[in-house]
Amino acid sequence: MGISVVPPILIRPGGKLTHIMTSSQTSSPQSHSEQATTVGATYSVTSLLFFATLLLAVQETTLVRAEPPTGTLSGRIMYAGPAIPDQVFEVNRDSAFCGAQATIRAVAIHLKTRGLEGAVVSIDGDATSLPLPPPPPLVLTNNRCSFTPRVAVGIVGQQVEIRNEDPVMHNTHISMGPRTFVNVAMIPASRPVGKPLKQPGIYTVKCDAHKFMQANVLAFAHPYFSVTDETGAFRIPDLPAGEHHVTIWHETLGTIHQTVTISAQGQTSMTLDYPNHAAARKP
Amino acid sequence: MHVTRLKYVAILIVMGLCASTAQAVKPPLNRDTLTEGRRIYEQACAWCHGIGGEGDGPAGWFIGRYSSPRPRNFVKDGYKLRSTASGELPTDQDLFKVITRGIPGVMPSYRSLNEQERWQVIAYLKSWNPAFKEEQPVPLTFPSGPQGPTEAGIQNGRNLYVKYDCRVCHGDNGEGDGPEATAGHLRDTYELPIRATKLTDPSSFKNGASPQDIFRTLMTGMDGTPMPAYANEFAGQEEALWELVWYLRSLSGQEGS
Repeated sequence: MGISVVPPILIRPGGKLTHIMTSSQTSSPQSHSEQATTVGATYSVTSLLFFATLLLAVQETTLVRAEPPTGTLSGRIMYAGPAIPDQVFEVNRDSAFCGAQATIRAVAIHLKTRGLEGAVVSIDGDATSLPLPPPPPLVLTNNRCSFTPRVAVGIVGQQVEIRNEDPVMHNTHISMGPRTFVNVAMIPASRPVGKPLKQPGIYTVKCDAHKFMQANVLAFAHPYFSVTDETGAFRIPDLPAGEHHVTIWHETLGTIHQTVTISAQGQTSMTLDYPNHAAARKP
Repeated sequence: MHVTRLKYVAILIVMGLCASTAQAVKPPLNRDTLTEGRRIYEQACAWCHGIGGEGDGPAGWFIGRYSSPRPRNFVKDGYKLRSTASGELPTDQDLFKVITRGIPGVMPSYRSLNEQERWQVIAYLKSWNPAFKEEQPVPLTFPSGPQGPTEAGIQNGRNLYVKYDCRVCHGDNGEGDGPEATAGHLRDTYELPIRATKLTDPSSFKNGASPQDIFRTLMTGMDGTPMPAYANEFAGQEEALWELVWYLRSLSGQEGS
């Protein structure tokens, strides 16, 4: 924009700096000395304008290249709703190792903080254009007839690595909707099986051999997500400043949404009480 | 031994010729192909798979309503019968093979369509699922030249059958009456009850009953069912997998190829 106000400059083959004269300048009846003075003054003004414009352009470029301001979103997800009973399964296969019964906790609440473990906090949005280092594999282990972790979060392209540490055979069957992502046999001491996450969304993980084994993998197209720890705490760093829509997901309690404004170079706190199960699932 | 090898070389040549013949008449993907594919689909396939390809055709609504398999939903389902790794889409050749052969007990063979018509239908049904535009299915490598069964190999195959818990679904003698099957625990992706394949009846094998077909099925698994892929378990130990194949063949009194 700024460059357009400067008279066009040419560097002729002889290396002499000049500018293209306009028709009004060439027709002006001036003496040789006056012309020399005028030309000298024109050069000075032109040069000044040129360097000023160059400076502005450099500053503009610097601004464009500067990292956008970011902040950190942290806080705690809590649940104070009615108790939700755990699921209890009779184990009819490999019970000598897996036990006679298996219990799946519906919600895990921290006694002191009332924090909800295993909730996934994420920012709504599309794929990031930021260059990201290759993330380490997302390890999903068959361990004591359950999946560890129960909730895993990763970024599209990240390798899911399936392991079996049990002395019994499992099959790890991961799907998104009706389409299988992978279904592999995992005998004792199997070598790990890896596959990159293809698309964002919620993947369900099960073992057809042991129906009580359940887990979820949530994949995102950007790095702005976090899963709450045993106290319900989460932290999402390096979040671009501004308003964001946040989604909170829990495998039993469902999905809720919240809007937050992230301040630059600072911490933004969000503490949220999960509504009870029925309310969370309402559209 | 020499004769066996020659036999497999001949099979491979014939398979290669079939594949190249099928490929030769594959029409280009354009509007004409899709229009013709749609016309054929609506005559031959929509009755079960639905006019929009969602597995909800007038007959399909009854087929598999209460038990698996349900007609495939071409819009969003995965595929059982593939030469690709678990979770991957099938290749065009895989789809061509299914349409040509049919699926025993489930879907008729469509050899009545000429090859070009089968390719046109494939182009049309693929157009419903955007994943076919985004992904490039790559078939697994299946080693050729099985050495044929031996008593020791079949016995080792039996050991693998036990080690890999095949009998839990398919039964101790392959009758499809393993404890998981008889207890009704086997479910497909829609939670519909599913039967374990009766390994003593090769005519019921959905993915084919030749040694190569069985080998491929073990490697790829049957997506959307509890049958997992064993490619990882047998990577670098393909000879052992062939022994399991020979054992499975022996359950129906078949030997070799």
